[in-house]
Amino acid sequence: MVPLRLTFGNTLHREMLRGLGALWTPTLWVLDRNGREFRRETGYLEPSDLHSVLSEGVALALVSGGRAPEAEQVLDRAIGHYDAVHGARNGSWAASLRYWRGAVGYLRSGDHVALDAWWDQVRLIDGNGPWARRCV
Amino acid sequence: MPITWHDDPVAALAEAAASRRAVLVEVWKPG
Repeated sequence: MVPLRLTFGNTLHREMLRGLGALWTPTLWVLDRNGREFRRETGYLEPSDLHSVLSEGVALALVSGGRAPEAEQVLDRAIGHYDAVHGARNGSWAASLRYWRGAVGYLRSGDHVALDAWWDQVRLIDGNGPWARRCV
Repeated sequence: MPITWHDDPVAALAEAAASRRAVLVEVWKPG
C-alpha cells in the first residue's frame, strides 16, 4: 500500500480532506489506485483490527480491479492471522472478514454453495449480530 | 519497519497508479 497522511490545516490537503468527508481523527481510508474509496474506519484500532480493516479494503479494491484471486488470498491470510491472534473465530472482524471472503469468492466463481459455506461461518460466529443478519 | 508517509496526495496517487497498489490514507490532527 502507498501510505498518505493528511493533516487538518494543511492547505495542500484541504481539497482531498473535503473530498473524503474527513470529520474526525483518527480516520483511515483505503483507496484503490484511482483514488476510489473502498474502506473507511474511524477510531483507534489494535494491530489485528487494523490488519483486518486494511485487508478488507485492499481485497475490495482488488476485486474492483478484476483481481479477485488476489483478493481471496488477501482475505485468507487475514482470516488466518486474525484467528491466530484471537483464537477460535472470536470477534466482529472474524465475521466481517468471512462475509467478504464469501462475497469475493462468489463474485469470482458464482458458486452459491461456497458462498453459503462462508456465510454459515459468519452466522456461527456472529449469532444474531449485524454481520450474520446480512447473510441472506 | 517504520512507515514513510507521503504528504503529497498527487504524488501518492501517482505512485499507487504506477505500482497498481492501493492507498492507505490517514487523517492527522496536529497538536
